[in-house]
Parts: sequence; structure tokens; C-alpha cells
Amino acid sequence: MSERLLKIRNLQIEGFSDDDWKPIVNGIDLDLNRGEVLGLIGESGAGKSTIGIAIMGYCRPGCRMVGGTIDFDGIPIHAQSHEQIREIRGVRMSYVAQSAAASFNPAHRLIDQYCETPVQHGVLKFEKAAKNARTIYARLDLPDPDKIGSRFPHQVSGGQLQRAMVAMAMSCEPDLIIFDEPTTALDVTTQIEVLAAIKDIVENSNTAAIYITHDLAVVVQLADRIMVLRYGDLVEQGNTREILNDPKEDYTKELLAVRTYRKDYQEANSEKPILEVKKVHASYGDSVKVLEDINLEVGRCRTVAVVGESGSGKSTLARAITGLLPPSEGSICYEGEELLRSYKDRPKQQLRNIQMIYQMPDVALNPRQKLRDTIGRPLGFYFGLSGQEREQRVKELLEMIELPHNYIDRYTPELSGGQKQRVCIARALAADPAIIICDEVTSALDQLVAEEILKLLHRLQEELKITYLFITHDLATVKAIADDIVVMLRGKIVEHGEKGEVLTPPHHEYTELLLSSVPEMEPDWLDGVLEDRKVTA
Amino acid sequence: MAIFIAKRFGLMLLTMFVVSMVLFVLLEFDIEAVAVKVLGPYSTDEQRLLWLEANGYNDPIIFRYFEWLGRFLVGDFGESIIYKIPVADVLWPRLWNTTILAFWVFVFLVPISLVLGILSGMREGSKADRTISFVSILTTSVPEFASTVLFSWLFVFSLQWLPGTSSMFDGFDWTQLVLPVLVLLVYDFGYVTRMTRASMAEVMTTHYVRTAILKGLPYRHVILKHALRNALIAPFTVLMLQINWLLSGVIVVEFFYAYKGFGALLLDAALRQDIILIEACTMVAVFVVVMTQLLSDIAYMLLNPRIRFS
Repeated sequence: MSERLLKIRNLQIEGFSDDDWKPIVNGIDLDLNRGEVLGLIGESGAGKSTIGIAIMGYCRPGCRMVGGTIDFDGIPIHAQSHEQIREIRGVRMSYVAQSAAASFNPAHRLIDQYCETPVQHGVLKFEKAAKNARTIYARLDLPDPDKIGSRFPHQVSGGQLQRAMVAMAMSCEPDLIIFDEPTTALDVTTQIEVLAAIKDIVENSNTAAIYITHDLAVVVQLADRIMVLRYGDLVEQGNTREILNDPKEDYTKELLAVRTYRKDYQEANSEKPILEVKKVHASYGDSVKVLEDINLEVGRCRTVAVVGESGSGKSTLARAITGLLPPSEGSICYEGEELLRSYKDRPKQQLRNIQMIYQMPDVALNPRQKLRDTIGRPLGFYFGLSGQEREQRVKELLEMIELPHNYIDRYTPELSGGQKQRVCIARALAADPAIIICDEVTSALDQLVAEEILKLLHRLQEELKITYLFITHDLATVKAIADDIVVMLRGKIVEHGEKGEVLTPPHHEYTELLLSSVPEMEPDWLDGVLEDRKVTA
Repeated sequence: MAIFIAKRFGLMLLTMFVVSMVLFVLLEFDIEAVAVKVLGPYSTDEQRLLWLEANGYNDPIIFRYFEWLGRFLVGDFGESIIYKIPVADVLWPRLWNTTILAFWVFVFLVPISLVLGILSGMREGSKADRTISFVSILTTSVPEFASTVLFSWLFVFSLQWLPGTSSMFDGFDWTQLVLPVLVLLVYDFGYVTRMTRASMAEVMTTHYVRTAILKGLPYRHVILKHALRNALIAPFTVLMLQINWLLSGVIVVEFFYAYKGFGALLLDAALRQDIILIEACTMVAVFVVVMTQLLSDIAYMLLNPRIRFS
């Protein structure tokens, strides 16, 4: 059982950027026994995915391995020819990628993509492989396992596709599977299905696995051992429980403490609500209804979190409030005054009062503008500021978002992800708004960075008395900063109330499902939840 | 799917209807100009008036338009002013000749440009890619009027391998077809190659191609089964557009080699103000354009399961 399967020594990988080769992985050692599950943890840029695919003898375009050895069951992967590596891939080790939707070929049926690995490697005949596929589809709890294989990738849901990808990785019963963020793109309720499938595979077959993720709470459910990486270096490694209970390094402690941030709860005030959404319906085109009968009151200076999974209509609600998608029925009132439906008809004053911040700061900022222009534009548009006055105000705003004054001459690609999101915040603040709608503003950021952004938003709220409508799918974020919570499901509000009220049982059925699906930093959490659900089902 | 095709077909008819209306108004609104064109500049006013009267030109334009459209629909295109014979008698043979030309261009264009495009897109930045890209940009940047002269000098005057004109007075002669086909091919293959290359290169960077490689599939299989299938969708549309170009964009080549094709006819009709012939040629060209569009839309749908099964 404790036979060594993989031994990596001093692995060094470089990537090409800005006309130069720069180190991505700096001499990592890694050992893995048969049947063991190793968690690779780290934020973006830690080099964890790079290590994952290097084990399969593959480097992304623009990367190269410059040193070290990878020994897989006695085979020196680093020294094999293309053809020798090809014979190992898929058969003895396989790979599960983050986005199954992008990783399946859209033009072929699932079963064909499953079977081609064993067939092309000459391991099994098509019929036998297809029979195995049906068994494993059933084992992974896919609906209608006998027929689902004849579907095309776009015809099954995201969680099902990810499980089909896990099944595909198992098609030749490999010794090692590399899971590269396999649940990151999924909703929490879907993530749990995929985690259950992966757990079943790694526990009940003698397959070793490397599980790559940025989310500690996910990896502790599966891994025997954890390696924490940062900027291509090993920070710490140890048994899962050891790392959880007794982390040695500060960085590991920070990662563990993430999501424990809570802002102080704010008592509800009795003032009139600043924003009222009354009986709003909205749809795309004539047929696709996205919002149905939405009623919502947003109190002054409060943070109202709108939670829901993808497709629940939460972003559409933001679009309806800002007038980007004029509602088909109902009204939206700001300070008791009804807003015009379309943003095109709204006067500047109305536009100024409600600002938005988006999920992807990369896309939301013009890469060819300096911060002076990005932040200065709304100052000119709403307040007619120019010249020295405008420059001064931009600098004040930079101070507010904790960036130095000299950043005024930087272009956005010269900033980090967190800094870019800060600039988006500054741009919204430049309009001096009463309400800021935050649409998944922390989803694209690393956890530690996200937490900083949440703290910043909270500080700004206290200083400037801003009201937030905070749209997110992440319940940890909700717990951290919400005063009120709105739970949405399929275009409707299913539960609405103050944070304490919504988060204490009894919950609405769906709220319960959402809450119980959020992984906790507790190795037995997944088993517990699956057990509970079996009992109630 | 049937609904989709029906919709497309309806749109196609509408397009042709609108074009025909614009065309008719442009060419036949000013009836005196029509009379001058038909009877010639030396005809008297009286003759013109009589001719207009006799041919029903004093009716309202709407009325005349629908009468013209009705005749058009049953295949009666009227009589050519310059050739003095029914338009159909000159139009169909000319269209047939151009079809032969286009056919042979296609026979070589499709395999050459697809294979080269795939080879260069498969490994972006490789030696093969750079060589192919260089050649295709070079040939595409030489305009047809330059390459016609160049090829004639080489094959007709220096080597004396091929005849210099392609009028085929003594019946079909394949040697007369070689030069026009060659010129068109050399001009066009680079463009289609580049389009195929772009599409192929894009597909090679997708996650599903990476998945296929990490599944340890043979490289041939990765290319043929995973990459090609999706990479050929875009070039197909581009190839369909080449049909339109070959129909009416080959005026230079047909004129230079005195090839009796559709392009040369259109040029002739335009230069000599044969409005009846211009109308017929334009409508035929429009018909071909909308038909190829329809075909490429349908093929796009068949090639893309996301549309086929949604």
C-alpha cells in the first residue's frame, strides 16, 4: 500500500513573459504513494497547475522545464520521448480539468470521448469500454447512465459534465489522476455532487490523486496530505489534520483564517428605505422570463446581500435597477421617487446616485487608459471637474482605496487583480453615489485579496455612508459583510430578512440546501453532509 | 431545423425582392434615358416617344416593375440591346463557361488551401507555418492584372507552352483554360489558406485539444478527430464566399484572356449601357450570392452540434 508511485526532485519550470524567461516553479520536491491523495494548495501564481501538468510530461505553450526529475513508477518522465509519454498518458495517469465545458470537444458525444482513450491505446474494444462507461456513469450518480453517453457536451449540466470528465479520467483505471480545480467553476450545490463522486473514486479504487485547488475547505475533504505553495515555492507540507490544527507558517495560518472575517453587525434603522423595488418583472426577449415579482427594500447605509446560484437572476436584478435592462413591469424608487425604466432616459442625477462594480476588473477597465482618465472621467461627466481640481480629486480617491498617488500615471495592465478591483471601486466612488451595486466583485480574486477588498468596502461604507447591494454566490462573503440577506432561486426571492434571522434555523428549504453545501474546514464535513442527505432522502 | 431553413429562405427571397426593386428604380426610373440607351444617341425625340409608348413605358413605375418582375420569374429576361437577341441566349452559355472556370479553380483551391492552412495552423510559429504564411501573403498581394501579364510572359511568350487567349472559338480546349485557372488560383489560395490557418491555430489552443493530448491520443488522431472537425467550420464559410467572387469578381482575368464568361459579359453590358442585360446579370449574381449564403448557413448548422441539437 505504501509503495512509492511518484517522486519529483528539484522541479524547475520557467515561463516566458515580457521578453524574458521567468521562474514559475523553483525546485519543488514531491512524493506520492499508491492510493494516496495529495492536496496542492495555493493562490494564483503559486505554480500548482503547472506542476500538475508537468507530471504528465506537458508544458503549456510558453513554459519550459529547466531542471529536476519526475519519476513515475520507475519511469523518468522528464527524459522520455513524446511517443513514450503518450503511451503513459490517459492509461496510467489522467487529468481532470477545471472547466469540463471547455475540455470536452463540442462536436463529439460523451461516450465516444470516453471510449477513445482505451480504444486508441489498444486497452479495450469499444463495446467493452462503453459498457464500463455505463457502469461508471451509474457509480458517479449521473442520471440515466445508459443513455447519457449519447449526448453532446452542451446537452448536460455543468455538474454532470464535470462528473463525466471524472468518469473519462477513469476509463483506463490509471494509477494517478490529477484533478486541477475540478469544482472551482461550479455552484456550491453542484460542487458537492462532484466532490462526492471524486471521493468515491479515490477511496474505493487504488488510484492515487493530486488535487489542485485554491480552496482549503474543499481539499481537506479529500486529501491525506497537503502541500502549501506560494510563488513556486513550497511553504509547508504535512498531514491534512496536522496542517489544519497546527499550521507552522504564517502564510498557511492566513489561508486558514480566510473567511472568518466578520464585519460588526449593524442594527436596522427605522429610516425610510433608500431604494425600493416593487413588483418588478423582467425578461430577455419576449419569452425568457428572468425576474418574477421581485419586491425588495434596501435600507440606508446597509449592505444587502443578494445570494443565489448561476441563473437565479441576481445579476439581472442589478441590470433592472440600473436601467440596463428596463423591467417589463413594476417600479424602482430611489428616495421615494420613481426611477425611469431605461438608463437612457434617466437624468444625470439619478445615474450618479447608483453606481456599479463588476466581477471582472480586467474587462471592466480600459487597458489603454491611465488611472487619471479612468477615475477622472466620472468626475468630468458628473461634476464638470477638469485640470488641477480633477487631478486633486483623483488623488484623494486613490488615497481612499489605499493606492499611492503616483499610480495616477499607471495603466491598468500594470496593476494586480486586487488593485484593479480597487480602481473600479474608486471609479464608482468618483460619482459620489448613495448606492453601489457590487456584482460578484470578489469572485475572480484570490481569497486573501478578496478579504482585503471586503474590508475596504466596509471601511468606505462607514466613512461615506454608502448603501451596498451585494450580489454574490458565495455564502462566506455573505456571512462576512451582509446586514440583510435576499435569497434568490429561478428569478424569485425565496427568503428575505436580516442576516441573523436568515442564517438561524428554521430556514427555507433552499436556503438550507445552500448553507449546508458550503464546505467547512473540517475533514469530516463532506461525509457528514452526504450522510444527512441520505437519511432525509 | 426545417423552420430555420424556411426562415432563411424567406429572408433570401426578401433580399432578392429588395435588390430587384432598387435595381429597377435605378435603371428604369428615368424613361427618357432608357429610350436613349435602347435607340441610341442619334434617335429623334419623336422616335423615342413612339418607342416608349409602344413598349408601355408611360405606365406608372410600380405597374411596370411588377410586369418586369413577372416576366423575370418565368425566365423571360427580355432582349439584349447590344446583341439584339434574347438575354437568356447569351446569359446562360456565358454563365456555364464561368461555372467551368470556377469549377476547376475550386478543384485545386479547396485541397491546396485547406491542407496548407491546416499544416501551418497545426504548429503556429513553426518553420512550415512561416514558409506557408510567407508564400500565401506574397501570392495574395500580387494583383490579378500583374500576374496575368507575368504568367503570359512566362508560359506564352518565353516557354510557349500555352495559348495566350482563351476565347475557345473552335470548341472546348483545356489548354486555353490553364492560364485563367492558374491566375485565379494563385491569387486566391493564399487568402483561404490564411483563414484556415487562423481557425486551425485557434482550435489548437482550446482546452479540448489539450485534453485530447493529455489523454495520450496519437497526434494524428488529435488533429483529424478533435481539431479538424471544429477548425473547418470557418473556412467552409470562406470557401462559399469565394464562389461569389469567382462569379463576378473575375472580370480582369476573363477580359485579359478574352474568355467568354459571365464577368466579361457584365463588363460589356455595363460599358455599353445594355440595361436589360445588366438587370439580368445582376439578378443572377444576387441569386448566387444568397444561395451560397443559405448553403453555408445550413452547413454551419450541420457541422455545429450545439446548433443542431438545441
